[in-house]
Amino acid sequence: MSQPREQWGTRLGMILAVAGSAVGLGNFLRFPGQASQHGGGAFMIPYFCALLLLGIPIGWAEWTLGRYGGRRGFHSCPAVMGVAGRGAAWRYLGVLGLLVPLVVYMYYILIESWCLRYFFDYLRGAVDLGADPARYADASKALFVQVTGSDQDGVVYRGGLHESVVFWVVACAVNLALIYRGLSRGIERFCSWAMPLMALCAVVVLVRVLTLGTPDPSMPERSVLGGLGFMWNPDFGKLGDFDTWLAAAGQIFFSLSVGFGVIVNYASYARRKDDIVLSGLTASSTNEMFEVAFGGLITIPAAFVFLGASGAVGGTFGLGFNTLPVVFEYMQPLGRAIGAIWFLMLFLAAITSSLSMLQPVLAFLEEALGMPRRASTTLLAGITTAGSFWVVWFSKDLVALDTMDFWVGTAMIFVLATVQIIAFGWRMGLDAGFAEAHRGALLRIPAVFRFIMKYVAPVFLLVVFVGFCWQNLPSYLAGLAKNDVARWTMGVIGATLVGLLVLTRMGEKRWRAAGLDIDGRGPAPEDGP
Amino acid sequence: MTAGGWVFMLCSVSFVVGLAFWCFWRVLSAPPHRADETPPAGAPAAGAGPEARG
Repeated sequence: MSQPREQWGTRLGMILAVAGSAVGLGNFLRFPGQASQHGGGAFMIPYFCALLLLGIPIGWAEWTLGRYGGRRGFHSCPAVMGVAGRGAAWRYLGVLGLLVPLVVYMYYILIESWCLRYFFDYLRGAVDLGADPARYADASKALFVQVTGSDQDGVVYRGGLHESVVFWVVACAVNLALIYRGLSRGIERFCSWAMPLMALCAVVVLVRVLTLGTPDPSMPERSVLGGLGFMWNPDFGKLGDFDTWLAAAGQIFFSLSVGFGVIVNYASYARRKDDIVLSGLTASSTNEMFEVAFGGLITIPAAFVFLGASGAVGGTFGLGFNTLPVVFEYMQPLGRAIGAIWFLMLFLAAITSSLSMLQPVLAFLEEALGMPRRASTTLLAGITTAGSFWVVWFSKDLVALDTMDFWVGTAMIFVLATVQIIAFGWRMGLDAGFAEAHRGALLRIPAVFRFIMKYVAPVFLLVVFVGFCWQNLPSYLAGLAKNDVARWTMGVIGATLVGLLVLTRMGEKRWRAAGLDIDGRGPAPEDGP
Repeated sequence: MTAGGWVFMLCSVSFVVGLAFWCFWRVLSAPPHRADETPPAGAPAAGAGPEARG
């Protein structure tokens, strides 16, 4: 009997890795924008409702499915879903648990490399928006275009090796090196110091922001308290708006990394009788702490203090890469040092997430094709570099990135989360699911969650998904019709999906030939008394 | 910053920070992993294809 090749070293390491997967740019940049636009403090009412009815229950379902598959020796989403759903159809639906992390990684690694470049540029004093404050905003936008090459396709390669390419290569190499070292020696060890460091960076930036006071006495309304008020003053009128509830549910959903196929994979490496209920709740609450306590107190107030209400609104990229560099330029003393700490924090948030996107695919290549670590890492490097190169090359207006983000990084995770919660509540069954979840649990799931996980969460998901499609689908379909790059990018996504389906079929044949119970018909190891 | 803003901010931040610290306290005060755990008979090697079963 072989020993398991991969297992978490410590419970805390596993929790930090899962929390690291969840904590990303959205915690610091997307959440504050959504909250301030949808009722401020009042936004927290639908937000916490969604956390209790959607985020935490689906997270628990994924942890349970993953550990159940892991007890049977499977770690990839298709294999885990095959045994949990007891059939080939669920196995092939589980391919979405590979497609989502793989495609999201292809563009996420690029954003990660931007954070790394901004960090180094701040560190070496290369970010200089000029002497005229009136031109800071233009200079910041120009810097973003220079870093991303978003003014034309292929621009980062013209006139020699563009600096951004170097950072992209470094980011890819660091991810692959850590993945190659393995689950415990690579991901767990890295997250075990990266997460505390990220928290430390956030505390330093938070302290600086909260001590800004009123930098310009001629504009007394632009103060820290004014910024906090802009972020948190409740507008209860927004609670009657369906968009507010949709935004809150969407934020919780994306923030907790449910529906990515990552938790299923990570939980499959938990020991057979180790706790997953408290671990899942701890990972979720860590993510919430970063989002609400740091994201909610730093970004918007900092922007408001220097730029007023008009400067404190914007999307993820707008706030993070256009607005905040302007804020750091105004923020004296220590503005540029705080900028370096801020982008280091974003880089750490990004890399702990991108690592979690590689591991499910790596596990699949090893499991389905029987590849050793070196070969599977090499193949994964080839696939992800090619896919990411596509996003880097088609950089104009970030169309390739946006297309992948919408169709896979947003729409597809609703589908996968729905598949997973139905597999848990309806296919695996609540009795078996709760028994599996409570195996070795340090905390019991309250009984009310039986009803929530069977009925409320699937219906809530469906409502949110329909609302999301109703809001966004027309514009993206129109974009597909008139933009060649968007259509080609859909082709890349389609080709990736087909390739994964073919590999799953190959794995299925190998598993059957080896006599493995891939349809979960027999009892799982240690199912008995 | 209105009174309502203070209430929502303090309650939200206190709730998430309190929950996170309570969870970490429970995790850190729990007994550690049993390091000698081995796979049950019949289970394939974790993360491996059929060949890894030997």
